[in-house]
Amino acid sequence: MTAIATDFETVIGLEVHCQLLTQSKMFCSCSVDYSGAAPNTHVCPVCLGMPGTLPVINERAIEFISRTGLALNCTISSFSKFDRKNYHYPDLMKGYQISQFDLPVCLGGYLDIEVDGYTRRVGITRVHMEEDTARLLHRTDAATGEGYSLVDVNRSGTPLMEIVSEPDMRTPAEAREYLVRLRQILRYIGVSHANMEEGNFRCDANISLRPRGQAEFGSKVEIKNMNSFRAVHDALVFEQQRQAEVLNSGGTIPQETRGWVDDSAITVSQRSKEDANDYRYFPEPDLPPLRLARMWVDDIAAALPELPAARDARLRALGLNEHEAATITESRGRAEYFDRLAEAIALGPERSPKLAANWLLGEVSRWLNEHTAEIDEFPLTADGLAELIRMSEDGQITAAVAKDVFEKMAATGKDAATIVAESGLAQISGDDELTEIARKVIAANQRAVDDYRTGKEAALNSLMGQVMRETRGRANPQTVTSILKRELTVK
Amino acid sequence: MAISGDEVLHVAHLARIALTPADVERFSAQLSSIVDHFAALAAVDTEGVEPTAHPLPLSNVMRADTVAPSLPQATVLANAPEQEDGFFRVRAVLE
Amino acid sequence: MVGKANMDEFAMGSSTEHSAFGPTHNPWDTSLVPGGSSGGSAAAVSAGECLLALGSDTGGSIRQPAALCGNVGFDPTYGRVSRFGIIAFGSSLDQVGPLARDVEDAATLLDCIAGHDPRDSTSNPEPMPDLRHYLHRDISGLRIGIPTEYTQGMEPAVRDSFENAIGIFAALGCTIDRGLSLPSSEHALAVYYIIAPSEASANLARYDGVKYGFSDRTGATMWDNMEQTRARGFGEEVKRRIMLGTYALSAGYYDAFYLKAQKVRTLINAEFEEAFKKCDIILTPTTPGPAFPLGAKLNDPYAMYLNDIYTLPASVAGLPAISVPSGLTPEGLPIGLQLIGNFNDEGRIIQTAHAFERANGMANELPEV
Repeated sequence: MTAIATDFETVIGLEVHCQLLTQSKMFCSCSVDYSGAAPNTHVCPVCLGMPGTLPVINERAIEFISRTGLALNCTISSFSKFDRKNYHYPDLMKGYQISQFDLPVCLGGYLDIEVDGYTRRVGITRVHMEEDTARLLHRTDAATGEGYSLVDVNRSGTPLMEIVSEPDMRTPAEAREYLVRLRQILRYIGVSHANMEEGNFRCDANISLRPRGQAEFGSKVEIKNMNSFRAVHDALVFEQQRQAEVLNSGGTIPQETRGWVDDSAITVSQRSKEDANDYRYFPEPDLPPLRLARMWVDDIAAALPELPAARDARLRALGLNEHEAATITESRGRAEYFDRLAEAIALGPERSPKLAANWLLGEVSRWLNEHTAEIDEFPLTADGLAELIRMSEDGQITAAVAKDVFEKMAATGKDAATIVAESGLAQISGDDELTEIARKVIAANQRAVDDYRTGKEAALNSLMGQVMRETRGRANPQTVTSILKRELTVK
Repeated sequence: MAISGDEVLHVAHLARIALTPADVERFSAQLSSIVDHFAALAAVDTEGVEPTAHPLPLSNVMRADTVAPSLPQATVLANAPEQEDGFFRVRAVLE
Repeated sequence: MVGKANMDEFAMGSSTEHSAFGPTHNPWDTSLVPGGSSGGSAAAVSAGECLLALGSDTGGSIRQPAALCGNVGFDPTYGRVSRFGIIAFGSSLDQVGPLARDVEDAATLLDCIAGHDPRDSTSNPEPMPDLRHYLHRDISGLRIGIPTEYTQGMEPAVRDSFENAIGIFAALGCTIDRGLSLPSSEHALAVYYIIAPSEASANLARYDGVKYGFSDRTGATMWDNMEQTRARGFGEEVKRRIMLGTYALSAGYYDAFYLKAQKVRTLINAEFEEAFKKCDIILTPTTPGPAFPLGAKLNDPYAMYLNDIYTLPASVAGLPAISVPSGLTPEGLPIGLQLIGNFNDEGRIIQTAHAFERANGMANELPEV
């Protein structure tokens, strides 16, 4: 890949559309759970755009968008309204989309991202509420070879939140990281599944190049049709290169929309949907405006969960390293489990967080991977797991036994104490009992004893192994080692 | 204020209404005449005046997020000019 | 329910001549129009085909045909009657109301259809009082205002009838203020004919031949189909208004037209608000003249729009207004009197209209058809 001429700066802005996790649609009571359903089975006269129908705002959607705005450090407008965005298309039932134009619910926020060791604050211009369109499919007539299109109205009217960033990103990697962080926050606050593959999180990118140091932005190109975070990254890399080549050879970049073609890894110029996108926005006469009360907004703010950044900082302060904190806080479920576990372990602030982290990133993660499960499906409660950990820490069972008990707990649902008692797995650390076993092993392994006495330290491991086998792993290893050494120095 | 034939065509395109040349000429004359009568509005002093979008001073009119049954597929498609396999059918829409 | 009545297509018209089913004739003189857009309803009531009818009023489409057909037509306060179920035309203006032979019947029908509807977000949450309580009441002391701007352009017969009506109110003990001025009302026609078509251009965008309704599939492409569907499916007046509205909203014209109209609307509303501090009811003729011949105004859209100059201001303001028969022209054609009330003041309008009707003695007069 040719290096980009060093005198160009890349400017990237992202527009994300995200479907909300309400039960019903934005302006009618149809269920939004249409995934996998037969076409046109989640439709009513309102979302079908039948004559005589009127929209009514879904209160939960407004709560969710407010929550989102607050999580993104936005101002929640005290006055906002809906507008009609007018254009014709077969997937647009009313011939206009109810959206928000100049007075959206959320304005002026930011999202901090960390890439390659530096932090960038990406501004959020606005977050607004709108309704999704129907879905178009394309087929070919087998007889005539002519293409035609089919419309499934199930998706029409689904609540859609549009999040627009400032053109603050400077590399494709930053763009990717922005999407990762944004998705994480949306999932944390429970407003969206934010899954690109499922179609409930869509991204369009705007990219332009300008000579470094120039204040004016260069000509903006919009890129559409990217279906994964990787695609967004790769499309931006390609486009950055393409634009640089054009500019370097003295050409200009026309302002246009280009589509990403994943198979060929290129962007191609698209004939835009509307030649002259004159949407003729005007205030939606069927919907009175929103005057969101200070108290209502404050209540939502107070109910926000601790967000990833704050949570990460707190875990680092508790003694977790960067990787541990990042991995644990990646999902809210996991992070909250960690907090409950650390609290339940209750072995002091020095030890509890580290123990909780080790177990969570160790045994628990392993179990979840093996069972392709999420943390909310994990069968051990934090209290139950904490009991096991405490038993291991205070010597009632060995570390090896603890792992075994862990598996049994997950499989049977029984608690640690019960399993240990039932299986007789309690750790043996009594001096008399272990001394007796040690002497027995020494007596039966003359060769190893001789090797050890001639200076081969490794022979001790073999004797250790035998003692452990005798005790079925229940002996405290440190105690066994010191007893063996003591016995072996006795004449 | 004259509304030219080209402007009429542009407006008709936005509104997706096909016009014959005779239509264009007729509408151009009629719309120009109607819009002429609006000229007096420009002289009205509206400095500092807020626009009225809604006659009633309502706000925050919302509904609870509850689900109600949707229509059966057959009903949704009952008036469809053309349908196939449970979908509405139209000529190819090029992306 | 007796039947469906004819009307101007999509409620766009003042003569019921813009109907795919053909025009309706005025029962008082069948060579004349019944008014519009609810002309079919008005004609049915005055022809005795039914007792009551519903109409829709966006700029006067209940009141004007009521006046031309000698009925009572009541356009309630915006939001009184749910708009869920009526085909949207001018969303911030549309209302449904009764047409009847007398005030009592109109009040009875409005009582039945008024009320809050959660399916209509612009529906008035305040319940309307039972209007029949306002019948048979005295109106002495009522303050009546007559705006000077509304008395221009009346035909002589209408002027005579109007003066006669004023005399009746004076005799009933009302105070008459002829000095009321609502200067911005002169712009109501322009304001209305920008806002209503603008909203309509969006409301009628759904008729594209994809999901329902007439669909022309003869063309080769999807856009051909859509453009021909709309060209052939809509009548002339409808297409004219869609284009007028699209133009008024389009880039470069939005500020000068749509936004300006909404601001002048605020001025019109403010003037009414001030006026109602000084008077209880505003009195005007309903129309400048009686019913006109079929075909007379079809070639001059603007002349057709002028039929509504007295009814438009109340529509723009969302205020309730009723038309009651006030007299006949020398040729025997009905003339209507309009009473405009303050927001949610349907009760006082019924009280006043009923008192006038009893004193005037024109209730239930029907033509010989």
